[in-house]
Amino acid sequence: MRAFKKRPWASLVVNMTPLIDVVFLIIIFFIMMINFSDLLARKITLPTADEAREMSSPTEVTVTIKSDTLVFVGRDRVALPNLAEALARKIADPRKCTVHLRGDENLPYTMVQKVMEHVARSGVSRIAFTTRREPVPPLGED
Amino acid sequence: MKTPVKATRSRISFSIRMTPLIDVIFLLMIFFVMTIRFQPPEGVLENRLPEKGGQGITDQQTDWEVVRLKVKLVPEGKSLKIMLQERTVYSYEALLEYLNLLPDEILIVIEPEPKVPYKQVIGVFNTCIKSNKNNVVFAVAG
Repeated sequence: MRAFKKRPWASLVVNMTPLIDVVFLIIIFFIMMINFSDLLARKITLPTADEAREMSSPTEVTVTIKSDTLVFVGRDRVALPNLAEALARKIADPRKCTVHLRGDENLPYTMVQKVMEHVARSGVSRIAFTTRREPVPPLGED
Repeated sequence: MKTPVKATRSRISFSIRMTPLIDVIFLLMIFFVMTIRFQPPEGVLENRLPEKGGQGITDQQTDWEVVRLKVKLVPEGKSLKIMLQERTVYSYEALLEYLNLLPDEILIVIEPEPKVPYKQVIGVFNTCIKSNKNNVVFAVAG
């Protein structure tokens, strides 16, 4: 009868701790390297309107207004005097396009009015004010 | 004669300790659940601008009755007053009551003062739509 020599069982335990350490280090590195400045610049608080409809416009361009110096067409920051030209460049057919206006709720109306004038000058006649679909707080209540 | 011993491959016991991994995953889950912020539902209030940046509709160019809503800041506080043709109101509810008395086929011109916050202008526009007055325009400066 053949005798087989039995070798002791080798126990291989994978230690996860250094792996997780390295993964976390990589995650932290990427989080630190992400440039949030563009996102933060376009972060605004929209006004509320309970009569707002769902967005359904087929062709749209978004204009975001945070302040008089922070106006964006889509993701691109533009100077207010150049807004009409920037829109005209971006929109192929102004008659079929709707511009979505995203303005911070505390902006003075004069700022929104200037933007509306530039939108009209670019040839677009359809504008949509983007709002949060929530009840409007009473006047004078902030 | 000695029989050759057949070399057997050592059996490897492969075990991953799941406990620290699950600990970390739960920790991450709790962190994301606590910090998550859902985007409020957004909608749009649609409006039309004068074509090609023109002067828009003036009182002389329309056969419709024109109702002007002058939105002004009350000097002593953050509150607003909405000056209608015959009277002044200080709330959206009062404005809605007034608008509900008017026929639907009218042209409403919203004339906010330059410093009026955008959210209040949207609030007035929202009230107009609530009262089925869909022909609303915004006055331009000058």
